[in-house]
Amino acid sequence: MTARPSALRAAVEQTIVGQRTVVEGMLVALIANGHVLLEGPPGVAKTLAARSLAQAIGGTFKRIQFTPDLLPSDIVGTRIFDQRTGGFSTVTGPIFANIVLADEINRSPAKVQSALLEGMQERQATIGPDTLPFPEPFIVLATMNPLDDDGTYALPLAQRDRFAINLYVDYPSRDEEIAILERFGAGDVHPVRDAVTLDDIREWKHEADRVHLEPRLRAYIVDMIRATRDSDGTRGRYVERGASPRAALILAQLAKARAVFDGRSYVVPDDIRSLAVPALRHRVGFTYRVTSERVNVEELLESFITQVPAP
Amino acid sequence: MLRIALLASVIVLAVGRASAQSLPDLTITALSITSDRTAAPEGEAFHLRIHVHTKQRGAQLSSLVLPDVVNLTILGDEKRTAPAGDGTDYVETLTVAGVSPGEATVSPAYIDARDPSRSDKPFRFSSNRLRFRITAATASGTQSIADAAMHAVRIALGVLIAVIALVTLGFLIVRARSLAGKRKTYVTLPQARPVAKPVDHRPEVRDATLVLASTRTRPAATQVRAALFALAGARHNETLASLLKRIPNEQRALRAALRAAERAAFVDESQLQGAIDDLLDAVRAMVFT
Repeated sequence: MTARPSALRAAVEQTIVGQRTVVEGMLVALIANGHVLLEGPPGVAKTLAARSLAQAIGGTFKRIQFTPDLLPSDIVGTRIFDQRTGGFSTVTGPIFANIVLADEINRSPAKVQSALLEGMQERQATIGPDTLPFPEPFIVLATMNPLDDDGTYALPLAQRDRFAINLYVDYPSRDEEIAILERFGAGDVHPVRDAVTLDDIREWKHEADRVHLEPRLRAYIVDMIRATRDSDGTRGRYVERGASPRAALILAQLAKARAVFDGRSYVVPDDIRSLAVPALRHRVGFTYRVTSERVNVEELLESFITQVPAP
Repeated sequence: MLRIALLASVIVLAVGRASAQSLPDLTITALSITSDRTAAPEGEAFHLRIHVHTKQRGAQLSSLVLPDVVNLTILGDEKRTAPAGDGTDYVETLTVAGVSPGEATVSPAYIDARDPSRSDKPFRFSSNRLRFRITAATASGTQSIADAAMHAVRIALGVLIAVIALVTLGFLIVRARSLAGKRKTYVTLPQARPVAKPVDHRPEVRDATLVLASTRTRPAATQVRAALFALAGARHNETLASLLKRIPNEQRALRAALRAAERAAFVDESQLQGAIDDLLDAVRAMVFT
């Protein structure tokens, strides 16, 4: 019998206090076969969330700490000479795992980022003459600290587009912080292992493919994406480039995954509305005024989205 | 008046024929000594101004005899000759200083000349005399310190008054702008109208449900959903999750009907008839609750 996504969420939440939106977002991305970009200040459990998810699904987990001296071969792998056989053998890199945590992805130069991002797109890597597929499921959880940007290499818009969803991990509430002290004050908390299997996740993906999306909801998604492109008024002032058609495809995919997560075989407007901002935040190019006037990006996107009539 | 007085003071002198031969031909109409001071501290420089006016143009006044000064020392001498409308103006400025406290005198300056307007007779034209009071240097120093102090006080007071005036002016400008800004915020409120009577959406729900029961199509289900959203007081563009947050849990029948309507509006075609049955049951349950 196939376990439900709620079981996976419960397993992750045994370790992670609060951050329900982030946990749900990661699970939805997992079902949608998409990658996650986690942004937030240090110490808000970004890495712990990724590790908890990996252990709960019983898959392999690898962490890559991005540094300025990292090389593409440190991620993808390389070929080494084997003295016993007298030939070269392939050694795969940490990207060959079910869940890959790319910690502080913006600390490495562009060529290293490209090695990871190409793998994310192709879901395979070529090392010498061998082209090796990544294990299934394969999800990259990349973290970025938006506050401390000294000595970093910002991800261009085109590369950020590879991530299905951009989740902002904020500081926990007061009650949540008290709960964190209670939970972690007694010693190490070990994440729940193997709450679901890799087969369960594959089954959820198949379910997501079969989820019904009403034509009116397709139009709703398209109108929402187009709302970020019109250059009138506020949009013209703050938005340089609107979201691409790929954003519409990803948003539809994520909405279907959320329907599976909620145990439905059809998408409702709430699926789209709740995922619109995380799916668009990193895909819309904002003008310098957003930074200079300290405009809240989420509120800005919300203002565009709520102008689209809900079906 | 000065000219008349000076002319009145001209003393006509007879001079010897031999000396008369070398006298210049001058008609002097003014010869005076003036000063801007009547008293001066010991050692402090001031000016004596000797003014001569002749009717002759380009006249040379080398024969002017400077006055004798008592208790004064001459520090400098500056001469200036300028053509005037009816002759020549000659001004000689002597810079002098008091030697010791007491009285200082300046004797008349004079010119010996033959006056063509008086049959070329030799005349001595003399100026007035002057007297000065020379004060002690110590008193003068004290005075100057006091003067300097008073001067400084006056400057400070002037600056203070100017600053106060500027601050007051600035305050008045800011105040005026503030009042002007406040005036801008006054808005004319629209005339109050009676609160509209809440619209009863139950007939809409009833009619839409009757249509759904007879047609059993998705558009009819969508109409029931819209009527139920209106009945629940949904705001513009509000989705179900947001609406359910505002509906109390006690209104279970309405919540259930809204969920059933959402399903019937968006479910797959193969499950539509079952969803419509559920929606009709939920609306009936809501009506009979």
